[in-house]
Amino acid sequence: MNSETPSSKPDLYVVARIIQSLKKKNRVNKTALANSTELSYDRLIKYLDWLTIKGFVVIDENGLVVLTKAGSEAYEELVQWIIKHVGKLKFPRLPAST
Amino acid sequence: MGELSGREFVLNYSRCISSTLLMVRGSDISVKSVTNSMTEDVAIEKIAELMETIDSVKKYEILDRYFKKFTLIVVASLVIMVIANTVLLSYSGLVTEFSRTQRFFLTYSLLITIPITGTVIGILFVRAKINAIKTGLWKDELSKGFPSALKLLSEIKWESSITAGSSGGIGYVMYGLVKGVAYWFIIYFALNLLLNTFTYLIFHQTGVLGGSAYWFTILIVFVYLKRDLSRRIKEIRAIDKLHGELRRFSHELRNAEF
Repeated sequence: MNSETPSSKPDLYVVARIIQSLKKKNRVNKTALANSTELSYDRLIKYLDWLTIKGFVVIDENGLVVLTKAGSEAYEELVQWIIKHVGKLKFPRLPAST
Repeated sequence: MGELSGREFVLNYSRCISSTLLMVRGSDISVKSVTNSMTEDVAIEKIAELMETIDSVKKYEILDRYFKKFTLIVVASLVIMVIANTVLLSYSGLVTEFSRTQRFFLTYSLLITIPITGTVIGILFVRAKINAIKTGLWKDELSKGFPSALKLLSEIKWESSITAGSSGGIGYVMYGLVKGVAYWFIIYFALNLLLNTFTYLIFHQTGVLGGSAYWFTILIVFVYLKRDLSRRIKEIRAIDKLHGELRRFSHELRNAEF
């Protein structure tokens, strides 16, 4: 996953961090969002572009970033995807006795 | 106060669950000021389970890596025992002054300590190596919440983790086998000593029971190895199965997107 080119394939971790941050604060300006997600401003802008195209966030008239319902659902779907796929794995008890 | 709709209730409830403590197989993962939803908690718990299993697989890799050194220690102790028996005790004249019975007890008491020491040193050596493995380094990252759990997943070196588990299997079984051989020597000498002490106390004679110690040892070691090796093979099969599942999961994760 190349995190520098979110338009082709975004880093799920970064996307999840942005959405989680937006879930906590309903509306937030870009600088505050960059701080809370620990992303550089330029990188955040790239991700916001991608998230906007996907319809996961919108930028309101005051320039604040707002999470959409689709964005919230996509995040929830990602959580469910992890539960489903990691949950399918069978973890044996491995004592590795010496 | 109006009634909450189902969706609002779930939302409120989720927000209230500030997961301050996650119990994962007895390990505490304190979630630092992170408010997770219930589903996020479940996902984090599943990932913690995966990480713990990957940590466990590392132990098999260590057993595989140090199996040769363990064998060397055990075999060296057995060689020393044989040398001690043939050269030092039989030819040096150190014990010729003792009677045949006294010589027997003296020789066996001394000889038995050598393979015991070698096996104990070997096991302790491997245990020290296993204990030196750094496990649970992911706990701090995981405690930061679901996005960090995703980061952990994306940073796992799947190929090396998978290969380690797979190659570690052979060494793990061989380790059990070498330990069985060492036990064979120890039990043989211990039984010989025990049975001859018994016959000496009753009949004032040694060597009455002939090769009974030999056959008893074979029986005991056979039962031990059957149980031990079947358990080890079972674990290896479980790792192999996990190996296949992880390969499939890593492929799905690489292709996952929003």
